[in-house]
Amino acid sequence: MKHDTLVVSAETVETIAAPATAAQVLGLIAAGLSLAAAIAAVS
Amino acid sequence: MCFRAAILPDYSHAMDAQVIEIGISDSDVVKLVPVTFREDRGNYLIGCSEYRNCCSTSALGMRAIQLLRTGLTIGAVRERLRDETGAAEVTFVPLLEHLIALGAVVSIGSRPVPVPRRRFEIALPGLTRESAGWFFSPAMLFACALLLFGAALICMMRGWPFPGPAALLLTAKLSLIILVSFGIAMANVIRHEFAHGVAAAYLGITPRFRIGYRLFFPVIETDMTGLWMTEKRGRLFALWAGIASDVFFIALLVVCAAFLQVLRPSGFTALRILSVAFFTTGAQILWEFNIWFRTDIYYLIAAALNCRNLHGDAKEYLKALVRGRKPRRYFPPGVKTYAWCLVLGYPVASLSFAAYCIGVGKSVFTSVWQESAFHPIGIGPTAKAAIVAVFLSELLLLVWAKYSELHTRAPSYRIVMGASQ
Repeated sequence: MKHDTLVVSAETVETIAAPATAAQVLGLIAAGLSLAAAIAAVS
Repeated sequence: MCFRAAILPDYSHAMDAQVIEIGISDSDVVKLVPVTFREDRGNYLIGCSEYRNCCSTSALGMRAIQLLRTGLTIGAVRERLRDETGAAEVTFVPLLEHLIALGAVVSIGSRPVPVPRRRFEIALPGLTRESAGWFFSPAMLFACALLLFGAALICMMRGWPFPGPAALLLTAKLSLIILVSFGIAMANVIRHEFAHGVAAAYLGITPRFRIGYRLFFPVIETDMTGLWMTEKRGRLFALWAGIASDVFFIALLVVCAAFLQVLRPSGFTALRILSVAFFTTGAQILWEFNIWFRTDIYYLIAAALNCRNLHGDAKEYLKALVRGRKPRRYFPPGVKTYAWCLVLGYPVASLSFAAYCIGVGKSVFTSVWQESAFHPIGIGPTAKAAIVAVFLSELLLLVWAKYSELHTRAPSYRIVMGASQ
């Protein structure tokens, strides 16, 4: 017996894009400047 | 009987983008780009355009693609599928729309199908399976093992070779620290991504490098989507490659620092530069644990759980919960766990990084405008210029990534049956 409509589709497969950033260097700068500020405040 | 619910391609990122209507009729023949496929737990993964794009479909979807590739018309394919399944009607329009969005359809009838624009990417033609094999030769693997063993031995015998972070900043010229840090960080990023690229090429996948962003962090990323066409072990191998190269680099720094201490005990500047390299690399490894930004660790989790759309599935699951509805389909426990990590982690990560950004910005601008407060460590015009240069470089990368993404936003495609143009 013939019955319903079959709907054939596809599913999204995520793009694999492995990242790396150099932005942490800003953290080092922040740490350096905070330390410098602390030294300047103490001295 | 309904074989499966129609799951349309995710066009959510292109809501305001152009909608392209494509008229088709039963007499049209659909020409596809070369595709490869792999069976995965009852479904089929389809790799299009040299694995640049992948999608997943059912056995019936795979059958439809196979029939289309034989040169049958759309009407003939539908007829065959009807005969084979016993269904009253078969429609594969959602599948076709998905294949078009992936760039897998060359033409329908005599009409070429517009190819989705791609972001600016760099491929390395010389990076082949053969050339990548050199990095995984027995001699190279032995050298890496020896390096790790040597670094561990040095740490055990002589202790940690680097001074603490405070020692880096008390005596050095700040401008030198800033520029060296940034230079090393950029070199690290390139090495890290190249390691992914080499591992992917070794598996037969063509890696493509581009500039992207996560939240407000400019990143360099390696597109290895074709990894879905490999076994889980291969995926894990290519995804671990970046962090593994970071670890090998730290081991190399440890060995160099130990040699430096023996050969030139007074060479403090060189040791300080090695220390900057160590802290920068360490920060880069830690950043990869921000799984909410789809970092290496995120992809490793997705690969380990065999979830091909972990982030999207988790968002779909959470949306259903927020709307008070039962999810329309089954989500494995891994997706649910990741969804809750997303709920808890994303705000924490966003707030931390916002605080980090405000803190960095405040410190930098204070240093630039209140120079006198930093005379003890000699922040002068050179240091100021270095700080501004680093910030501008990051900003330019971010602007480029955002512009590139907006410029290549994918249109959505809608097929209109019986309206062949």
